[in-house]
Amino acid sequence: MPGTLQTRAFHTDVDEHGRPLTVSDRERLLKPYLPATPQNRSPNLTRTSSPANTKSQRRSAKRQRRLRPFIKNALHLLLFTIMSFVFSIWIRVRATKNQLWNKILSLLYYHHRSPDMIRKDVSGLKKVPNHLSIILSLPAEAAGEAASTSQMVRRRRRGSNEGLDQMLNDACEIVAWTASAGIPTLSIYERSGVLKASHQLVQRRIARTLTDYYGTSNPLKPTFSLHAPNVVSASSSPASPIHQTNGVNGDVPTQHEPQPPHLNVILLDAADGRQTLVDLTRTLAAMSQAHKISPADISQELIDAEISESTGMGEPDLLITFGERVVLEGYPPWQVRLTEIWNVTDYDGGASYGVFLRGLVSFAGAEMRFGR
Amino acid sequence: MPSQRSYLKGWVLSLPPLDWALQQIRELVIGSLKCGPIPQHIAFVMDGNRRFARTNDIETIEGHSKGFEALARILEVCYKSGVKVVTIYAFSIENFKRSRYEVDALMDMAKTKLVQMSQHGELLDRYGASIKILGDRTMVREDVRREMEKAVDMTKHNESAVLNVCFPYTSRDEITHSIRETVKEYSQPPAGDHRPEMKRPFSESSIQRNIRSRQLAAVAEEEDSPERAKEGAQAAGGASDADSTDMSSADLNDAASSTFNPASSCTSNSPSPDLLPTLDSKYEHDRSLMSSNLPDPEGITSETLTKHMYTSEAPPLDLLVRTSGVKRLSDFMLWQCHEDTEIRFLDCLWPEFDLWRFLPVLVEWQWRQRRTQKPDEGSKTVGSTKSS
Repeated sequence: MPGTLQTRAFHTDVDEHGRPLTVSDRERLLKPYLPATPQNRSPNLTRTSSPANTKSQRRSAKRQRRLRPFIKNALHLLLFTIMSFVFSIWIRVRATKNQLWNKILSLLYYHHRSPDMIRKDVSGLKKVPNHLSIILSLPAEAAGEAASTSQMVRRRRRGSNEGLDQMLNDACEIVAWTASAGIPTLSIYERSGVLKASHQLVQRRIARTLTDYYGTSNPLKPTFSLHAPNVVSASSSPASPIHQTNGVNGDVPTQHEPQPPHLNVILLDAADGRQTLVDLTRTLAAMSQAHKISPADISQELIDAEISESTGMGEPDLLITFGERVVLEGYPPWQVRLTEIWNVTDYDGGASYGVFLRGLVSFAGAEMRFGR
Repeated sequence: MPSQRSYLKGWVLSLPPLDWALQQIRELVIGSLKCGPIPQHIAFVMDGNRRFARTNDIETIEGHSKGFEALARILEVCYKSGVKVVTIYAFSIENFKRSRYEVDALMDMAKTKLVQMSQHGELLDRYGASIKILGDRTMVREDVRREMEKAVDMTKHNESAVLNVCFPYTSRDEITHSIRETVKEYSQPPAGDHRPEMKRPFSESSIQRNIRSRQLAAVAEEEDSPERAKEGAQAAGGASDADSTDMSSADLNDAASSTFNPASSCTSNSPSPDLLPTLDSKYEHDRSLMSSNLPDPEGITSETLTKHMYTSEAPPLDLLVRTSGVKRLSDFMLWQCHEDTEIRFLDCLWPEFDLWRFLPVLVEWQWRQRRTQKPDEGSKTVGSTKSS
């Protein structure tokens, strides 16, 4: 990087005496900061050293060339080790601090399985997302992937069962929080698709969790519907709901009573990501081969319409990940275009109300800026 | 007095010994970064130029040119530390919605920088960097486009590093483009099949018929009527001769013949050598030929789409950095970053972004890389096949 004098000269395009820079002036300014000419350059680019080089000069240069890189390398390695060491300490400190902070927050803001508490937490916010999306992952899978011995595999299997149960629990809790916060749409993404495969179980568990939160005969108990796009077992069109429950409380609310809110839950997996776009391309290619459409007809609007129809969801407003860093894990690419992505750095412990609430708060504080 | 302090700071930093020392430290840090794993492909969303201009009371366009300087700094760090491909979000298609004045100013700036780059082509060669423009170039002004093409052309011989400039770009546009290109590819017969009808001396159908007539002969022998068997063989042979003349051209197509031959051989198991099945299969054969000249759409995979993306030549995206605290992708690299890419949202504005703010990101990436690969080396290959 050039020094400040050179930067200023570049910025104003005049040198220190106020004369405008020429092309060669600029190159002269930059020369000391450039890396050496690479060896594998085409010959017309390499600069041949001037023939005035004497023998002794060349010899000393040779010795220097051998010694210098060695010292340099040793120095680099030393600094790299120090840097990595310091950093690993620092990241542990940071992680501890963040986890502590998260603990404190989750103690301060606990929902006590009460929808009223959640509603109170959310009521101060300027806006809540219309469509919330979350990424869940099997906690045991990450550890299981690294395992290779049979013992580890066995442990993984047991672990993944526990993990699945844990994840199911998390999903149901989040559904209850979302419903209490008054968000109308929730999509749950899980890469491997276990949630999607067991949607009937999910259905039952969600109903039970909602009963836990609201009680059996609360007129405000939200109704929900569960969708799972692209499920093979679905006989009807892919976007249609697999199951529909109109309130498990059974008694039909009379007209003058406040209508219970409705929550739309969508289960997604990796097949709803790239694979959907691939399937669409296959269909379009087949149609084009049959001369039903021409490739020029394919527009962004067409794809958008088809994709949102087949997955049954639009673009989420907020995406919450419960991992320690932001990795989308194959989340549907077409839909995340403008989605705000929230995660808590260094937090890695499954779904937590603290993270959920902080995501909503951050979303309310963020300004929508797109293009303008 | 912030302006006085910054002036003083600037004066101190411009003192030659300090300047030299800083330069040495930077080199040292970059050199030591190289000792660890380095991301092969990094993408930047250069956000915050305008906010920087607002908070520092300078013109918007001045903020953009400060941003360009920050880009130059970061590119230097990237290429010196061994990053192969850097992708930057320079201009979104959505940006055309901004005020006409700003769009024009941005275009002028792009042109100026491109002209400067063409003047200093040799300096770019030192980094071995080639420039690629990703996006829909037809939306750009004619004079800017010409400069773009010039810059691309001038640096295309460089192979050690690539700078992808997303000029009028949105990721949805890119995905649409890729789907359209894939559909186009699958709507025409592949180039390999286009070679003029090569006549092979043997046709598969006649071989098939030969086998069949032998089987027939064997069956007939069992039935103890050699004459009938001979007739059958002759009839079948005749049919095959007649067929082979007009079918030899079609026989290049392996798929069609192989799918229909089992059917014909199946029907021919009946002792009476009817000519009907062969005629039938011939009809089907002809019909299937028209469509089977085209590749099967089922062959389209996500790799096919990836191949048609603008970034097809680049390695998978390892790291995506967005500055200015906005936690969105804003239609950038959606297809490339939604798998295993680490996405980092930083709070600093882009013109303030430099080596010292970039360093923690890189070191943390290295740290995670080591941590995920340490458990066993085998998982590394699993990860790489999954991401590709």
